[in-house]
Amino acid sequence: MAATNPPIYSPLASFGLKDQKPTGNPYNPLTWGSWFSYQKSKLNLPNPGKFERLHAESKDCSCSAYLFDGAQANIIKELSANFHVQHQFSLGSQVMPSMYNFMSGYMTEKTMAQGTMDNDLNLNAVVRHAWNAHSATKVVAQITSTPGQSMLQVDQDINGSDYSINIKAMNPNPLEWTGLYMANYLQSVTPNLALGSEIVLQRPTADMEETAMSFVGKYTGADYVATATFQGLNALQATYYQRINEKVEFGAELNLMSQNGRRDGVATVSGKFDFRQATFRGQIDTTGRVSAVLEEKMAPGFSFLISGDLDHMKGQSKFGVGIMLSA
Amino acid sequence: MVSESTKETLLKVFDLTKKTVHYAFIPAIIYIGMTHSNPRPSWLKLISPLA
Repeated sequence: MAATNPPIYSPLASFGLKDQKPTGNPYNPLTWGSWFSYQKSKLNLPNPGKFERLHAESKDCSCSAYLFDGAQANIIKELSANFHVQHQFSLGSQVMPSMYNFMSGYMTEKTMAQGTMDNDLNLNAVVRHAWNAHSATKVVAQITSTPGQSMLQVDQDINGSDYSINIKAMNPNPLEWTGLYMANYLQSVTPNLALGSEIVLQRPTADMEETAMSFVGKYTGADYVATATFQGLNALQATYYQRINEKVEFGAELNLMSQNGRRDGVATVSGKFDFRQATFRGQIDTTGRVSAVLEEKMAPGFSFLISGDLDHMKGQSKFGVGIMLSA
Repeated sequence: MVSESTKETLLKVFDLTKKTVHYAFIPAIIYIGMTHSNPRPSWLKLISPLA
């Protein structure tokens, strides 16, 4: 029984190439790795996407990432295909003081480096390097001018053919191993269903340790996506996203939390409408909060944004106007 | 496991790295972007919004 490849004496080499019927007796435990990869590749399971983007379809319909307050101006200069510089001015906001932000980014196929500095000289630096199609490392550093509030996050992404793994460390201190560590794993079980889990380990000092675990599931249908996250036994976050047609998308989100005898639930319905020159996102939720964001492309390189957020229960409202120039 | 003096040296090195990254990161990105871009942009384009 001649092997087609020279024998490599390593446990990782036992997982052979997929799509290649392994030589070797399936009753021999040393060949179980390559038979496992072969049978799994016959199922043709798709990659389930990244764990942190699990709820991304529904969250993209909602306004939460796009709401802003006061007046904002964004000027983006593309100096070349790889290099861009952005200036951001913001004033008149009720939640944040007036600020100026400078961002520069350099992007190639494998590496991405981006730095943001604001008027208080706080730096937010992101460097992302993709070693190959399966693995990528990202380092995020937030260095503030007030000492003691800086943050460093290192994370590693491993994308297999039908699974994705992400390992993250925040403020790791190699001398005492304090910090926040997270690992998550998402696996496609059928062509439509993906299941996963996440473990969080918090070590603020060398004595205190706290762990949390959560389970997630994602079901993708023909034009809808349903996801659910169960965090420990306390919290549930479920979303449903439906694509009505290529211009209209709706998302619904439910957040339930029960902790220390208090039970809270919020349901949000949001819609995203794409017009020829504009995008409108509207959202309403059960706490009586209504928000909307409109982005209109008035000319190539010039867009106009309006954002409104009304909280009827609290009687508060926030509005924002902004322009985005791309030169 | 690690001696006190090594810990202090590591702490000093770490603080120095933090200060260096704080002030040199964005100039380094701008330098790499200006020299490694194809076509190579002019320095005037960096400052002036009209160029």
